[in-house]
Amino acid sequence: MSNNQVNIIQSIIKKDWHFNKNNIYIFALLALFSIYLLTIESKLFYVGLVLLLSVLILIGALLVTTTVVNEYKKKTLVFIMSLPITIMDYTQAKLTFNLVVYCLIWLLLTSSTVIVIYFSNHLPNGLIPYALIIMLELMVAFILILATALITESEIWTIVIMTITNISVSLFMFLIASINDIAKFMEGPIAVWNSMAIQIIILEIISAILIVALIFIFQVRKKDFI
Amino acid sequence: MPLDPTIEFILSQTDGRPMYQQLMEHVKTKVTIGDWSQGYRLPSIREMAVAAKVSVITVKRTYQELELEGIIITQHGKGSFISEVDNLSIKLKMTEMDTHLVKATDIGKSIGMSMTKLQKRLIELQNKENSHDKERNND
Amino acid sequence: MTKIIKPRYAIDLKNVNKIFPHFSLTDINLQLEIGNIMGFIGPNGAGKSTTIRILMGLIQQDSGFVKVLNHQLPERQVTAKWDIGYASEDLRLYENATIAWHMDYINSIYPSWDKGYAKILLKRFDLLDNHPIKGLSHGQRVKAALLLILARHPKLLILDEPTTGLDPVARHEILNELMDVLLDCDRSIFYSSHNTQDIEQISDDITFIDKGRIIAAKDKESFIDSWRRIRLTLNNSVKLPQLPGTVEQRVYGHQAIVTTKQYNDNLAKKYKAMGITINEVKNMSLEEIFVSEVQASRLKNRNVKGELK
Repeated sequence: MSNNQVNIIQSIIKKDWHFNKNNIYIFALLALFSIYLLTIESKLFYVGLVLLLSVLILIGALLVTTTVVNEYKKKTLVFIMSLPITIMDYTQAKLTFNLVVYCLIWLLLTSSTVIVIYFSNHLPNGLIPYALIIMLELMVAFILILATALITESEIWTIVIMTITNISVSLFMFLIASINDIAKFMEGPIAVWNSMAIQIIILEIISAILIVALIFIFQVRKKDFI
Repeated sequence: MPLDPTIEFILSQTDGRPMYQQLMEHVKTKVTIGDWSQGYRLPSIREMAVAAKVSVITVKRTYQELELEGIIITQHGKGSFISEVDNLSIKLKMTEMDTHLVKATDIGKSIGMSMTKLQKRLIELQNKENSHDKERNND
Repeated sequence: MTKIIKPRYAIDLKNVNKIFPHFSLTDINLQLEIGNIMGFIGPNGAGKSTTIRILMGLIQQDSGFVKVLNHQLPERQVTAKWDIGYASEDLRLYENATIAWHMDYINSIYPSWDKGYAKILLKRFDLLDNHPIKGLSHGQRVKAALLLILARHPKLLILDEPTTGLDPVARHEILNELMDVLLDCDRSIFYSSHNTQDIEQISDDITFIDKGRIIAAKDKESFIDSWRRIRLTLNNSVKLPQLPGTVEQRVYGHQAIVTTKQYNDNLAKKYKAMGITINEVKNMSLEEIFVSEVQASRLKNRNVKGELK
């Protein structure tokens, strides 16, 4: 890829950062606050938990809406596509920005959750694999929403997938907690990485990679844009 | 880019004539009133197009027609110039008069007037005009 | 010794087809010579925007040959787009950002951005660079979008109905600015509209499109030259002949009105020889020509379909 193309992809990423940085700062603060609540040994812990999950779901929805859905809904996509770029350049710019921002916040929240569980007295370390599985599910759900928005260029489809993935978060938590090989170690004093936990984690990572690959496959084949 | 201020033309979309004819008229007027004299270098086709806010092709057409009528000469690579014809402005006026006369004759013929009758008519009209002028002067 | 052959066309489409479920572009052939302005005229839904999107590589043709600024599309759309300035009716700028932000943004991408000219344009268009886009009127937005492309001196301007819905003053300002592009003989403009008035004055070439097909394409002078509306008087017992080039003829008693697309002095002589008096020969405006072309083309298509049945 030529220097020019790299520059243009960067300029689209910079633009998305420029228009979204305030929102991202606010969500980062909320994320830090939710971590603080997690460390408190009272009912506030649950408030922190709900806030943490909400931050991850909302930042995902916000990123996809403002950087992908709104580009075509508000017809600024025509402006972007009049620049010397291809659909693939556009896709790369959008993927990079969304994945980097989301992953940074995700990493912040996931690592602090693990650290909080590890060091706190009121939370059993057995929860760590379970927590990681749930966090990874949120990440996969986000990538799925992003893929839907990029591939379908449709606001309605994006909202449908957002709704489905949101509802399935609690279902997924319940489902994982009802798997015997996971459930029996959750209350235990040490984190047990048995084959069930590892398999689920690998499955989640593969799904994430597959969805990203699918985005490229669909976009390469796309003949008509806007 | 500053253009010659004398080439600010305003063409009309509602004038029944095509743009190039209107533009020809403008150039001829410039010549008859003496703004553009023999040997005057006309604006380039693109400059003229910008000044008159018409397309390049319209100006090309205008210059071609003007050249056919002998009003301008185009020298390849140098530009277009008002022809070095003596009394060009008078000749232009004569041509204009001729077109009116031919039209008048055609109408006369269509209602069966002979040339002599037409000539008479012209003299009558002229006398009328003159007496009007006198009346006006007497007022 | 190698000789550099200068390409002749800014836009060159040959036999381009594109089929959608409810609409198709059929056999589009279109050539815009470098340095010319082409008016691309068609009713709403005729296929103007689809054609333009193909020119921008946003839509790929199913078949046919597309070259823009001598670059094959869709393969080399990026290279082509560096030198294209594109504005369309449905292009929007970022509502929360100012004109100045947009100017900086374009400047950061295109090395050809001309700061001085951008400033001049701001003044001529009566715009303030610190205004956010969302507070601007429709006309101001269109002017802002045009400023962003004009100030980088693109070789080809592709404008999709840019003056639609503008007040006469804004339209005038924009057309004036487009004329300035013309001073440079290497720059071309492709301009679509459903309004012939916008285009008539500044176009060198005119292409009419209707129902996904090019129905006529010529230089403007030839259009204006060859179309006439003739008012005739038919003397007793003379029947009005159908001469070649006749698009429409209506007879009212002894009077007739003929619309022809092949007018010349011979035609007048032919009528005279048949004992028909010509009362008046009128030039037609581009709008009248456009309407006649569309009607004639639709009638022809209906007849063809009728014969097939």
